[in-house]
Amino acid sequence: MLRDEIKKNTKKFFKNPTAVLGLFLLVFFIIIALFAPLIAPPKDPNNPYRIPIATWSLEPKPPSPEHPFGVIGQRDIFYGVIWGTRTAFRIGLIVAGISAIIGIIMGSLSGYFGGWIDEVLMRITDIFMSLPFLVAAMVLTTVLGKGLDKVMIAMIVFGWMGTARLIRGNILQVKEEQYVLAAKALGVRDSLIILKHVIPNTIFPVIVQVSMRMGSLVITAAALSFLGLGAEPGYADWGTLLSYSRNWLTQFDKAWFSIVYPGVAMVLFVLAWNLVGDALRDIFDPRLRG
Amino acid sequence: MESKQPLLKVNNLKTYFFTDDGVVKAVDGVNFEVYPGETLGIVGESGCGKSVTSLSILRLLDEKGKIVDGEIIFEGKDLVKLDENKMREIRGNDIAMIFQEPMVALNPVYTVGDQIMEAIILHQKVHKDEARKIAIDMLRKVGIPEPEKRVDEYPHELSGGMRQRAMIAMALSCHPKLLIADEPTTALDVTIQAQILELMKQLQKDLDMAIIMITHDLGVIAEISDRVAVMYAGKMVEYTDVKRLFKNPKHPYTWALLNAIPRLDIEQERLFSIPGVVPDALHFPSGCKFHTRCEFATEKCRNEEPGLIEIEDGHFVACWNIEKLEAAKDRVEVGENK
Repeated sequence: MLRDEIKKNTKKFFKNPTAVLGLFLLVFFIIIALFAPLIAPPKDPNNPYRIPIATWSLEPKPPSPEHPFGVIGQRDIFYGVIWGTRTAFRIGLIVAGISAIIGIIMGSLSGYFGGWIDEVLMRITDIFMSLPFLVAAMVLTTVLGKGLDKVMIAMIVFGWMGTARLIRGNILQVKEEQYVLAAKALGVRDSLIILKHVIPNTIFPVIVQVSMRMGSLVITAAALSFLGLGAEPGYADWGTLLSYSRNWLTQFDKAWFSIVYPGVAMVLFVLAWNLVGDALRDIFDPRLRG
Repeated sequence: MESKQPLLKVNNLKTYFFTDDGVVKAVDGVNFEVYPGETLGIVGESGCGKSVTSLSILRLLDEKGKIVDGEIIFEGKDLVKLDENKMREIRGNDIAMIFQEPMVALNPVYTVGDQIMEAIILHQKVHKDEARKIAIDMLRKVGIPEPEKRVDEYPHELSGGMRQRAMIAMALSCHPKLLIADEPTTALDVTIQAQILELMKQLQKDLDMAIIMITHDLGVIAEISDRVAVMYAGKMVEYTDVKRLFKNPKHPYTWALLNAIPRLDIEQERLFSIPGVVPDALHFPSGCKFHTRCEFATEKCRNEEPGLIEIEDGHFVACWNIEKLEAAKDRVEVGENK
């Protein structure tokens, strides 16, 4: 029964060309991340995330056989893009994962119990939502100090509210569904109703949201890096690479490669997660099954 | 009937909803009995408290609704006083319920079989394979073709009538002694309605269970009920067996309801309808709650609330003006014969 279900869904997944494209891109990025040490061997194996200095000149160098994506801010862009893939996955998985867990806990507590618990938790959520994200993240990173992990903490602290709202709304809606009442009328206990009837009907939008956020978080991290709040200079991170081109904004012809290569990587990364997220929704949401 | 012990006896049940705007007396002093194997119909317009009555019996009211008074005696136990654990053992096992909207009363993420098996595993403590067999058996019993295949289908893959059959299978899977059917046919089209009612009658005979049929449709009542309770604005206004109700209604509201049914045997220019609407539950009128819409209303009706009185053996009516209605009936008869 379960095997049939998986078979059916896999078949459906592969019939959808955009889903296949998304999966292909994602697999491509995963392979790059896994084989980064082979594709771009680090000079210092103990510190592979540090992009080695390629030249002492401050001028950007266009792509050449030695530096296929060119050089910006003395750093090899190719190396940065390859190792930046790992950073992107790390940011996406950790930030989206932890903030989703916080959101699910906050949202489901509010939704299930209602009353004053809901009131308190939702007002906390409102306070967090009322802070402009970039400003709040900037302040927190400044307080915590520089570094990618600090940026990630800031993104988690100010990034769980959407999930909380989403799951609370869903639970409120599902709680009123007649099949919940029907299950109660059959004598099913509350904890089982929550586990079997409420969560499965509320969790899929969250899974889809999380997978979509995986991509977009990388852009947010890049934005913070661009503002000078991200990883320390020289760290293999797409946003950091982009921030190097800040000094060359008016001379696009001289530094185009420093925008294009990390930019394309970022766009494709976001696209991959979005397409996979869409495909997951098609599969998971039984209401869309046909 | 007097000699038999009632399976369910509801005494002076009062269920109020405590809302921000005030207290809604959704059910206000209702009495009735259900005997083993019989069908009691509860009929009334939307908002008269019939669904709340059924939810009260299973104690499935939301936080705002409370049973403030009365008792619900089921097999000698007062369900109002039972703790939640004991109550859960009764739900689905002894008393089951089916709902109005088969489209939404099944969980979309599980197969029909999963949902039927849930109750079976819960109450009968059997293994999964055994439960599956029982589920398939149940689906066959409710007339679903190819039950071995249907058991693994999702609710959206079934038609409305099939879903209602699946709901019935789910409710009956543990052979309850009492089935509460809350408008089970309202959402279905007429031919399917007749099939479902036929099926329920058949299953009632096979499983020897009592049914409380809640509906606004007097046609359904005529089809399936043994006895009928007519409800209006949280109160019971008439309570008798089905033959007497249709032949000789004693309450103006019942009479008006019956007159509102389209008839083929007499020429009607326009369909009779009861003037006005059901009063707002927050502001029920004083006295008899029907007086605002009753053509026989007098000063007494406006001030004093009539109690439910047994006017003949097993025929209860709550009205001050039974004679007036009789006179009016004669008038209409004469008019018809012209």
